[in-house]
Amino acid sequence: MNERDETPDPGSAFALAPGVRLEPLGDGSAVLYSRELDQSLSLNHTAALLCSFADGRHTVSAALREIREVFPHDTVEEAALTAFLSDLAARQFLQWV
Amino acid sequence: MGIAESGWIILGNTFRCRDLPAVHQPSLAALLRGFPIADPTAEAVEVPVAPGDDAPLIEYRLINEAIARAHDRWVLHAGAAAGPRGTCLIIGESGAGKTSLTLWLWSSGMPLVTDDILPVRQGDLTVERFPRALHMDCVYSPRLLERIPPRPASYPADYYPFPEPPAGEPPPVSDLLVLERGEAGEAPRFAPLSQGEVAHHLLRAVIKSPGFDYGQALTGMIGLASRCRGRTLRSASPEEAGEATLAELARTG
Repeated sequence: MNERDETPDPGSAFALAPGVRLEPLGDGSAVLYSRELDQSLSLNHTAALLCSFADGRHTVSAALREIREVFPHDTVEEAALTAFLSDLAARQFLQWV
Repeated sequence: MGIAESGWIILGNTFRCRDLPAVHQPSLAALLRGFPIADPTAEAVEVPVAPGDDAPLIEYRLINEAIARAHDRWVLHAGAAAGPRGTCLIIGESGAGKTSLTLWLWSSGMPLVTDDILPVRQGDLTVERFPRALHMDCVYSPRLLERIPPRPASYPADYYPFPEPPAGEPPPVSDLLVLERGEAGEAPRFAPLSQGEVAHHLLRAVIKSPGFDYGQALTGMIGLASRCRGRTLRSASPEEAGEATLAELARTG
């Protein structure tokens, strides 16, 4: 974690915030639900897969590596991934470990 | 007064509550502040509304109370009609055209389930009809108004009777349409929704009454999402939305 601007670095690990539940669905999409906030977000298949790595052990770069293995023909940019995770953290659905 | 147990219709000039169980009459009397207790064997209870009384406000209170008491149901702000594959739900922001599209489908031969409020049983996720008077409380397309049966002369201009429902329950939910307002001249366009997006849209349409459990409702809406095909429909006019929906439902039915 870069302390000056709070931007996560590739070595940052991430986890779902307490009370947040990931509900995977049959078509690869998912819903993220926060009991604390009483809010939910719908996720596409890439975001759903990314959130499945939010276990406090996977780092951004490890998650990126795994996603590229699952979707070898898709272009998955680290910056986009980091921005998405930062957005989830700002919404209190995710925390940096 | 429950929703399932007591079919009831509200009119603009008098309230006619059909099949109201006697045990619920004191509650209704309290709610309407002075409603006369009727003969328990009567098929319908007439509640006169004097000139100047605010009938829509009384209706609003009645419906809110019915929703608050429907503990074993989720109540969605949605229109619905029975299509070729099953019940098609129609949701969208206020003014997006839910009522217009629902009535267009009904006037095209699809049985009406509801024009605005849809109870969903929490156990098996089946839906129920909600036969209150149809609301025609804004400016509607002349082509739509031409298609629906004429309003009886005794009815106020902004209310229509709910059509007699066909026998049996509405079919299981099969489709969800999320209406979006298009720009003038734009052709109607469907776009598929993921199950996650369907669950999210359904959850947003659930009316949150006191004691609402968000997590429980999410589980229910995920279950409903897994059973239906969701699409957005972006359209500039109710007529085009109606025709496009009929073609789409026939194509995928």
